[in-house]
Amino acid sequence: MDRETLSELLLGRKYQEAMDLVKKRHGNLRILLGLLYSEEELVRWRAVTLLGLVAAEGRTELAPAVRRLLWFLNEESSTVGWCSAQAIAEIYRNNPGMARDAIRPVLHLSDDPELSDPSNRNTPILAGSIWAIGALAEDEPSLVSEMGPSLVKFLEDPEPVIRGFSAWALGRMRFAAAEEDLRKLAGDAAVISLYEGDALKNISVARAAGGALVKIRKNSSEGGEE
Amino acid sequence: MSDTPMIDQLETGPWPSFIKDIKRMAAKNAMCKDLLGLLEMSYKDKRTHWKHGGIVGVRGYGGGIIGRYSDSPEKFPNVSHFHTVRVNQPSAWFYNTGALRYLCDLWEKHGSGLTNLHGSTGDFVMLGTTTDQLEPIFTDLSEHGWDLGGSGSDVRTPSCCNGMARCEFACYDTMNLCYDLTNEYQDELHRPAFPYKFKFKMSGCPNDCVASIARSDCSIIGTWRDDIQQDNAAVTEYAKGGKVDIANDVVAKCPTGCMSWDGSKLSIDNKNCNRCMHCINVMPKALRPGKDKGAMILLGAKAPIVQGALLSSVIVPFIKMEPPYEEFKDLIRRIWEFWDEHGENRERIGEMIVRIGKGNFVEEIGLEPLPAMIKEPRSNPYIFYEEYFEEE
Amino acid sequence: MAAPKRKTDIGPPHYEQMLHPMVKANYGKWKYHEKVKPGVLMHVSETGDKLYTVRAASSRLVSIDKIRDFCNLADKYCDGYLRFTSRNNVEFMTDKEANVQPIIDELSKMGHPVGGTGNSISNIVHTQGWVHCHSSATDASGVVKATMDELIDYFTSMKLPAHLRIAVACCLNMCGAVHCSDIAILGIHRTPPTIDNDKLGNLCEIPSTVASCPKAAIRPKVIEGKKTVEVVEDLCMYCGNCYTVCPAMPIANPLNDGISIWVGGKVSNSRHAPMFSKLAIPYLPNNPPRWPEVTGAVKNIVETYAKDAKKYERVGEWINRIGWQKFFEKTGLEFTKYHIDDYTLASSTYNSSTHVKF
Repeated sequence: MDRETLSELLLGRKYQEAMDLVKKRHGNLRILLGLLYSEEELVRWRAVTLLGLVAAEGRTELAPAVRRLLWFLNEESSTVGWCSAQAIAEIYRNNPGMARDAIRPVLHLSDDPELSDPSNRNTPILAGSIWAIGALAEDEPSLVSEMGPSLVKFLEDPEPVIRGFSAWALGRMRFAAAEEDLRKLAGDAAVISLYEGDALKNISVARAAGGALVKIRKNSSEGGEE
Repeated sequence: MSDTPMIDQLETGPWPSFIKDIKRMAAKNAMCKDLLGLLEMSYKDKRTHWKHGGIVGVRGYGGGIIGRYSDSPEKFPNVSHFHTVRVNQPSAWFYNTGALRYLCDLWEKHGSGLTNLHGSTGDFVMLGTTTDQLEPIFTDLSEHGWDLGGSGSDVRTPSCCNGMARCEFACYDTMNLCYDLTNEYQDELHRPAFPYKFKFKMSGCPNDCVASIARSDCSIIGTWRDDIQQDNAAVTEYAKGGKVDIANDVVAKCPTGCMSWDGSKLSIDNKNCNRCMHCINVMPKALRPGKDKGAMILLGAKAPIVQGALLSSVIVPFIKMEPPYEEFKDLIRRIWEFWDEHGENRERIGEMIVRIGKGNFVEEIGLEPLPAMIKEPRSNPYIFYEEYFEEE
Repeated sequence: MAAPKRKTDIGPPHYEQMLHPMVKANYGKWKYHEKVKPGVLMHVSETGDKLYTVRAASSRLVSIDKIRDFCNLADKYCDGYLRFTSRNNVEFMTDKEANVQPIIDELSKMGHPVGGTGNSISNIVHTQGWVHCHSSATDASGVVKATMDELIDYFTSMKLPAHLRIAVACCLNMCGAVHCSDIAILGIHRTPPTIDNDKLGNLCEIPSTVASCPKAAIRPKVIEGKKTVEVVEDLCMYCGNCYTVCPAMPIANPLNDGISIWVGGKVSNSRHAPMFSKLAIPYLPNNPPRWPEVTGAVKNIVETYAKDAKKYERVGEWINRIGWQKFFEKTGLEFTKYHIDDYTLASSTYNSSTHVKF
């Protein structure tokens, strides 16, 4: 199996076939990890999804891969873990035991002042961390709740992807305190590419904020979820 | 009164002064000016003023850029972001001036104008730029036939000695092998997915001028299998010449005592030669490596962190090294598959071999155990016997 | 919106375009070489062609203006070709003997002494130090400049008993072959890391941090409800690897950080097999900008070796012959309990014999 074959399967949504190939030889897992660097956006994201599916099955031990992925976010010789945050979150969501120790640093990446300074930072890495918060918000609300205030601040970020992902994540968190700031984004027509389910959607920041507001209001009217 | 009285003191003296060089650039480049200030602060405070880590890169690659942020952005704003770009060097650091001038012009446009020639792994290092310049730099490089080097848990940029380009001792074409492997393993180089880093270093002979036995996970050191080539007329010339004392400088220094000199004839018992290169080094006009040339493969060198320093050790005493190097690449494939599966996070291959046992490792990658792999057999009796008889 | 497609994975340019015509014509055909004089090599090929190489000192950290100066020189005398060595020197190759002296003269005017060939000190391989590294306990370029200024005679001559390779590493990560050098200069810490308990759980993956310690001195701990770690200080030997893995555990301490000196390492296989460098001096103060204690100590070792060693003996081979007792005696260095190994395989370094000199 090589990069091209696996990419094709992912683009064709042939997840079971892809998983069978990945499990066939340990070296194939490394090829899957390599796809997290792919220049093609959809391939990167589907690789994230596939890692989640592999974790869910539970038969392949991914904890060593998780440590590697986290190491790519914090490495003295700078590997760039382009989709490490998302991958770790997806693995955790499907099988918390496999990523138990890695999840907190991933969710708290935006605590690093280097990443939250808009003038000169690695936006995709920050966006990945915000997406990770959103991805886990519905399954693990207590894990992500303390990130709420940081995400609210990001709603005013100069970059659309940060505003959009933060809005989306705050909605999934049902973070009521964000309501006012989300409403301010009603006119934000900047378009972002958001991965949800297993598809990439082009939506405006305003629409992401609108969707978030719907979730928050529904939550408060139903008396909140436990 | 200078702003930098301490580092100014490094401008005097016969050795080339890096401070003078940075100051020359500082006259037209604000990053260099601030770098001098930051460095002066370090000299005063006796500590570094660079912060940990820094996640920056270019699309499609997982490495090649080292992020660096200073801890004093208010004082020295022009070096608050001071990332490094690793550019894959041409084999053995040969350049034509056109190539170097291109790199200089590119760097002048996008960064501090300071370089390292070269980094420890071997890359041409562009020292100091900001995040927004990274994509333009990489696009420009790739349009002109250059590429980034490795960083992180990947195959790092391979490097080699000048081999057949300029050395009579070279036992295989190090420069070609380096070029070939670099291209073969581009994916592994740019997309880190291994347990930790993996370095190839290639030396053409056992003199090992790139220190591969000390620094690389996979050392490829040229050697020969047959007899040293001897030019007896030239030996006589050395004997007459007075500069080389064959008996004391050559024969007496032979570590295996396989040489003899009776005043007119030099005899080498080649079956007992361990190819240390000493006699060849002393009498290059008279002695040369044999004709049946190839390479020795050693695995596992690394610096002290974590378990201690290791030198690489023999796993293949002799392998022919001719393009396309299929036999070698097949060996590497088997080694990587095993290390990828069994290596722990941040475990170099040398540490893994020590942990699981070299005997087990060698077996798993399909090689026969050989005396050449060891200095001496075990002296402890803790043998993990695997074969035993069952009761009927 | 898709970003423009650009070429990736193309690797470096092919070396063939970087080779001087005489180098290219004689690729694989070199017969022997001579060390004409310090810094000048002559390679002779089977075809009779003669290639001259002039090797000059370079500081590894070079500006583009300096590179352009080198290029001007190479254009003038070397048909537009040059190279750099594995120890960061610069080399100019020409097929005209008459060009050799002009190259040397111009390099001299530029402030680049010519030398580093044969039995010399060729250049000090080093790391980034305070110029660029977050984990450096000392500066590297400054130490190199100060040391080579002191030892310049050994660069511009070939009078040592054998090659002498010096390396500087600004911390225990040792980016370079410091662990196998004739003389190695190593930046060290002497105090344990300080832990930011508030930030650690959010910045670092705790199992990796625990695993990073060679002495298992780091344990997970919960302080005021926050996940963090603690360091068992008796087990800590200040290597700083935990800081490499976890930014919330800085270890730099200007008061106590310093420099150690190591001797006797060797990479080449000629005569004796490769060897690690061994401890000579455990601590010297970090004293920028010229580190007189370090340069003095290194010079003392070099000169003691130069006076006492036999021809073709590297520092390590010299010490093997005279024994470590004599090494400490002749150099006047103090022997302390720090010199005695206490890590894994330490017992293999003890003297288990009656071989003692009086």
